Amino acid sequence: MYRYDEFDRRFLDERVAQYRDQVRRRLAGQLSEEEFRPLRLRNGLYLQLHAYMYRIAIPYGTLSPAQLRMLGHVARKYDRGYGHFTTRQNMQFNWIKLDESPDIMADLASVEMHSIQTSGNCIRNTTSDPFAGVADDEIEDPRPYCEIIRQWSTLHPEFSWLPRKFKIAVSASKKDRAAVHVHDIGLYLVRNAEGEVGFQVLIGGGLGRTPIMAKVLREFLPKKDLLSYLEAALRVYNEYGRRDNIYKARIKILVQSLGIDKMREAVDAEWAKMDHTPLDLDNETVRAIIAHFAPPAYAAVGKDDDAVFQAAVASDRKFARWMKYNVAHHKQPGYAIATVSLKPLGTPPGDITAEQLDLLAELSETYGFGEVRVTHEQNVVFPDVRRSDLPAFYNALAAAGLGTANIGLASDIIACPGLDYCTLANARSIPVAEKLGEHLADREEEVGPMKIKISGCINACGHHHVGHIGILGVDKNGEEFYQITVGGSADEQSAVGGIVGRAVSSDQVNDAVDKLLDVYVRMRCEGEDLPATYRRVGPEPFKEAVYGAH
Amino acid sequence: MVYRTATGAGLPGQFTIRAPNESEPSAVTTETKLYAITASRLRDGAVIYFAGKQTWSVKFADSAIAPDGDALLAEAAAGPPPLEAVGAYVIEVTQAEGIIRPVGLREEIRAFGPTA
Ligand code: SF4
Repeated sequence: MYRYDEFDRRFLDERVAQYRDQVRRRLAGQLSEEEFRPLRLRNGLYLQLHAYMYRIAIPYGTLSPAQLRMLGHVARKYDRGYGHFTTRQNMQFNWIKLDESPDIMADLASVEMHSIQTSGNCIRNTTSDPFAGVADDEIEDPRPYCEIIRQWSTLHPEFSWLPRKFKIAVSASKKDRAAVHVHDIGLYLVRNAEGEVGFQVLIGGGLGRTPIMAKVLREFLPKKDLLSYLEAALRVYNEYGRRDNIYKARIKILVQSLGIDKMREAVDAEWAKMDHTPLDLDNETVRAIIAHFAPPAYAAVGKDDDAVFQAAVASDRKFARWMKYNVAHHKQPGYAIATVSLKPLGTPPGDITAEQLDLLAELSETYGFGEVRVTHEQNVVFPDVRRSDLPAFYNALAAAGLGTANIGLASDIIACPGLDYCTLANARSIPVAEKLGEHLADREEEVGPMKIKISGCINACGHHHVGHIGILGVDKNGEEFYQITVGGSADEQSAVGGIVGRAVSSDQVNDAVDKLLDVYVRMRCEGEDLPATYRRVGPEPFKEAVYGAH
Repeated sequence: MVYRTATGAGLPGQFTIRAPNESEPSAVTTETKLYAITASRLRDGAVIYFAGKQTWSVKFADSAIAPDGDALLAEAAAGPPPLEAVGAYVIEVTQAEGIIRPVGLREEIRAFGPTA
C-alpha cells in the first residue's frame, strides 16, 4: 500500500488546523452559515436530515488494518457505532457533531486518511477495481495510477473550482468491476498492437438526471502521458463546461453538446500547447509510487492445502455456498479473492458496525497481507486469502454475522441512504432494499447473477440506471413511489435500463420485481444475464408481466 | 404572534384548535392549515423546532404552531440565540384528536428518526 510522505503529512496537519479554526469561528458566530458551508463541504461535512454526515475518502477503496480500526473508533466515539460504505468506495458516518468534526479529522490524519475533496466541484476520490493486483485477467495493477491521480488531483489549484464534481475510475481487466463507463473520465489499461501498455481514455459518462455512457476519447494513450492528457481534458472542461445551470454542468453534457469528435479536437489542441515534461510519468517519483504496490510475499502452495479446503466444502453446506458466490479466482496459485457481503438479509446495504470493522482489521492481518478493498457494490474484498485458510476465515466471518453468501445475487442489492438520511431524497431506499432482499432470498440461486440497484432520487447514487433491475424513488404529492427500470448494466457491456412503466407504490415493488425475474428466468438462453435477455427480447415481455397487456 | 405548543393547551388569549366533535366554532377550524418551524441545530445538526419565546427544542411536540407560517418563521428568526438554528423553514402540520404531526414523510422521518 502507498504510505504518506512528508508532503502528504504536512498538508494534512495544516488542513486540520485550518479546519479546527474555521469550526471554532463558526461556533463563535464569526462566520455565517453561508461563509462556513463551502468550507465544511470542502472537508466532506454535509448537513443531512438528522445530523452532520461526514464522508471519508478511501483512495481506490483500499484500507489497512490501522485504517479499519480507526473507522471503527470513529463509529464508536463520534457516531452511533456504525458507518456506511458508499457506491464510490468511500465511508459515510451519519450522526456526526460539528464541534467534534475537527477531532475526527485529526484522528483520521493519524492513519493517513482524510475527507478532503469528498464534496465540492473538484476531482473526487479515484475509484478502481477491487480485485486490482490480484485478478487473473488484469493487464497491469491499476492502483499505482490511481495513486498518481490522487496525488496530482489533491489540492490541484487549477481544478478546485470546476463547473461541477469530477469522478475518475481506473480498471485493468476485461471484466469491468469499477463501473468505468459511468465516470466523467474512465481509464482502462490496455495493450496496443505493438504490445505496449497504455490507457484507453473514456470521457463523459455519468448517471443522475441524464444518464450517459462514456465515449472513447483516445484509443491508446502511452502511460507516461497520463497526467498531461488528463490535465488537458480537465482544462477543456474547466473552460467550456457550463456554470449557468447545475443540471447541465457535468462534463457529460459538454461532450454531448460538442460531440465526441470536437471534444477530442479541443483536448488534443490543448494538449499540443502544453509543456508535458513536468507531468511525464517517467521519473523516479513515479517508480517509487509503483514500488509501493509490489506483490506481497506469497507462500508456496502446501501439499495439503487443497485437501483441507475440499474437506470443508464437502462437510459444510453453508461454506460450500459461500465458496460458490463469495470467492473468486486469484492470479497466484494457492490463493483466493474473498468478498465479505455487507448485505445480510434485512439490514441496510453497506452498513458495518465498529466491532465488524475491528474484526475485518484483525482478519486482514491473519488471513492476508493487511489490506482490504471496499467495492462500489458496498461489500469488502479480502484480496489475498490462502485457499487452505478459507474455512477458518469463513467461520470467523460467520460468527460475526458477516458470512452471508450472496455476492452477485438478487439480495446483494446496492442502495443509497435515501429518505431515511439524505436531504435530497424523494423516497426511502433502505427499507425497500431490506424487504426486497428478504423477499428474493429464497429464489436467488434459481435466478442466478442479478444486480438490483436502488436510488432515493434522480441523483442516482444507488446507480439504479445501470441495475439489471433499477429502482428509483419518486415523490408523487408527498407519497413515495418507485419507478422500475430493466436491462441496465454497469460492466463492460454498460447500458442504461429501460423504464418498465408507471411508478409503483412501495407495497408493489416486491411483486413487480418478482414478475420481471419470472420473465427473465422463462426467456433467458443458456448463460445469458438479464441485460442480454432484455437486449434480445426487448422490453415488451417485461412490461406486459408487470402491467398486463396494453 | 399567536401560537400554541403542539402538546400543551393554547396560551391565554391565543387560538385553540377545534376538535372534530366540538360543537362550538373556534378561531381555527380543522380546515385551517397549521405550520411549525424547524431547523438543524448548529452544534450537532440535530433536528430542532421553534418552541416560541425565543426557544428551540429537539422535541417536535414542543413546536409552536400557527396558521401563519411566515409570521412564525419571522418570529423565530428575530429572537436570539441567532446561532442555534441553521436553515430554518416552515413545515405544515396536522392535528387529529389533539395530536399534532408533521405533514409528509420527510418531516415525519426528521421528527421521529430513520425508519430502518
Ligand atoms: S440518490 Fe438521492 S437520495 Fe440517494 S443518496 Fe443520492 S442524493 Fe441522496
